Amino acid sequence: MPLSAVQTFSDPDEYAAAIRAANTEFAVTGRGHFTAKLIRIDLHRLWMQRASDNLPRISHPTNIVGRAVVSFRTQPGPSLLTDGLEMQATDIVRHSDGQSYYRRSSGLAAYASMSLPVEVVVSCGAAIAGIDLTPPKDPLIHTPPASAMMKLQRLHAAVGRLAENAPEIIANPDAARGLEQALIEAVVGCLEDRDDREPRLAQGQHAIVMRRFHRVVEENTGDPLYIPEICKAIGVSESTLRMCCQEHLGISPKRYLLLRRMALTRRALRQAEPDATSVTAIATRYGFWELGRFAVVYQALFGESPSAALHRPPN
Amino acid sequence: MPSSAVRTFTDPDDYAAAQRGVKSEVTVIGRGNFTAKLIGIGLHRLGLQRSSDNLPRTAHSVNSKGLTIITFRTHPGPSLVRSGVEMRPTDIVRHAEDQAYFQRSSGSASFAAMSLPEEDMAAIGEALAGLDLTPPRDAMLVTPPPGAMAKLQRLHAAAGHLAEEAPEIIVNPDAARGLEQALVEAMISCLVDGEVREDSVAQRHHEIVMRRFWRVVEENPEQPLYIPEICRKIGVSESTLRMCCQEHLGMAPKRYLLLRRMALTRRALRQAEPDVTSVTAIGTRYGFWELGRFAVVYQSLFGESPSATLRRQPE
Repeated sequence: MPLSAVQTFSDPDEYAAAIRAANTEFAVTGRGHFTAKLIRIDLHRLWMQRASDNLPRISHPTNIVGRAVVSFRTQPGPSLLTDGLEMQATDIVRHSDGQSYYRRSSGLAAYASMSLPVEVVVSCGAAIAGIDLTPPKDPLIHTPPASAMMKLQRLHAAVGRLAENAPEIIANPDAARGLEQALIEAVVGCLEDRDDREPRLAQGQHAIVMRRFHRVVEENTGDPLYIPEICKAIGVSESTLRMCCQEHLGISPKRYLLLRRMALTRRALRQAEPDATSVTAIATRYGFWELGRFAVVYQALFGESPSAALHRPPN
Repeated sequence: MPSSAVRTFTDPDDYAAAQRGVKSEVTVIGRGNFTAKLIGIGLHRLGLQRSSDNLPRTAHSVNSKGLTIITFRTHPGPSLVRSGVEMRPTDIVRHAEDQAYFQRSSGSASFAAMSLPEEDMAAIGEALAGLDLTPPRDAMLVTPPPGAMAKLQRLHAAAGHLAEEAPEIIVNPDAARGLEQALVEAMISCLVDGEVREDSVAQRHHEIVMRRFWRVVEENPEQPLYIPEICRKIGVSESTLRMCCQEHLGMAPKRYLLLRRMALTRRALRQAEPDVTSVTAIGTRYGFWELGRFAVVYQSLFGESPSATLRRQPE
C-alpha cells in the first residue's frame, strides 16, 4: 500500500531517525535554532524523500543494502557535499549499494532522494534506455542534460506537493503506479548518455579512509579519541586523515569528534529522566570531565544549558 | 488517452470558446485588461476544469447534453452569482441537464467544474443503494459537510497543480485512473452527504423568465431591442423583467443589451479584415447608428478605439 508522510522537526536526532537510510548520524556544526522538514513517499517499489534542514551539519547515512539510490539538490544554495564532492542543483548523485557516506552542508540544504531495488533499476535501465544502471562502487556525480534534470526536479516536486496537499492520491494504488512510472522514466532519462565525472584516483582512497575513520569512531562512543590513536587504527598519517576530513567533513578530525560527542551527549540528555540521572553523570559518560568548560561549549553550540536540555520535556 | 491543457487568455471570446462541456458567452461589464486562465483536464471518464477571470462579467452558459456537471468556487472573493443565487466556496452546484443559465461576477472569480457522462453517474448512484445522482430537472445547491468539501477542494487543486507542473503524470493512464478514483470518490461523498437546497418557486419562475429573455436576445443579435417589445415576447411586465435581470445579471436589461451588443461588435471588429470593411459598416450592422457616441462608449469600455481593434492583428 503506497503511503506518504510529511513531518517537521526541531530536534536533529529525531530528524536523523526519520530519514530513511539506516543509522543516519547527524552532527550540527553551526549555531542556531534547528528546523528540518521531511517528506517521505513510498510508492510501490520506488521510495522517495524530500528533505530540508537549515543549519550547517554533517550527516553520515548508510544506504539500505540492495537498493539503488540517487540523490540531488532541489534548490541551489549553500554548499552541499557528498563524500567531499560538491553537489550542484544540476547534478545527480548515484550512490553505491549499501555504502555509507558523509554529507555536509554549510547552511540551508534542500535535497531529494529516490531508491529502487537494484534488480528493478537494472531492468528498467535496460528496458527503457538500454543502459546499465548497476549502482557504482563509489558515489558518482553526474550532470544530466538540463531538460532531463528539470523534468525530474519538476516531477519530484509535484509528487512532494501531492504528499503535502493530497496524500489520498498517493495512497491510491493506480495513481501510485502511474507516479512511479513517470518518475522512473524521468530518472532514467537523467542517466542516459551519462558522462560520469571520472572519480579522481584519490577519491576512492579518501572514501576508504573515511569509512575506516567512521568505523573507529563508531566503536568508541564513550571515551574521547586521540588522533594518533585513530591514525594508527586506520593505518594513515595524520596529515592524510586531516586532508580527508577536510574534504568530507569540512573540519578537522578533532573538531568533528568534539561535535559528535557533543551531539551524543545532547541526545542522552534529551532522552534521560531528570529524576534518575544528572548532567554530570551523562557528561562524564561521554568523556567530558571538565564540566565547567563542557557547559560553556554546550551552551554555545545548542543555545541552552545542559541542565535545561535534561529538564526539557520531550517534544 | 488522458490529457491536460493550461491556457491563458486576454480575449473573453477565446476564453468562452475554450470552456469544455458548456457553450458560453462572456460579456465583460467592468473596465480594465481582461485576463483569464483555464486548466482543462480530461482523465478517462472524468473531466475537470479550473477557471479564473479577473473582471466583472456575465456569462451565459448552456451545458452539453449527456453530462453530469457540478461546479464550485475555488476561492472566496467578490460575489459570484449563478441564476441569481450567490455561490459560496462551501457550496456545490449540481447542474440540470442541458441547462442554460447566467453567472455573473463582480470581480476576480475562480471556480471549478467536474463532469462525468450521465451513464457513469447513474451506475455510481445505483451502486450506492439507488441514489439518483444524474442531473436534476432544475439546478440544485448542495452544501457538503465541511470536511468532504475541503477534501474535494484539495484534490481538485492538486490535479490542477499537476496539470501545470507535471502534465506527464496526468497523461500516464494509471495515474489518471487513480486521480479519477480519488476525485470521483471525493465528489460523491460531497453529493451524498450534502445538504440540498432547492430553488424556491419564485427563483424557478425567474429562471424561466431569464431563459425566455435569452432566447429573444439571441434571436436578434443585430438590431437593438426595445424593452417593451422584449417584455411582450416573454409575456412579463417591465418591472418583473427588471427584477429578474437585476437578480441574474446584476444590472438593468437595457444596460445588458448595450454591453452585449458592444461585445458582439468588438468580436466582429477583431475578426474582420481591415482592408475589406470599416468601423462604420460593422458598427451599423450591430445597430450603432450614432457613430461618435458609439466610439466614445466603446473606448471607455474596452480601452481602445474601434478602429484600433479593427486594425489590431489577431493574437
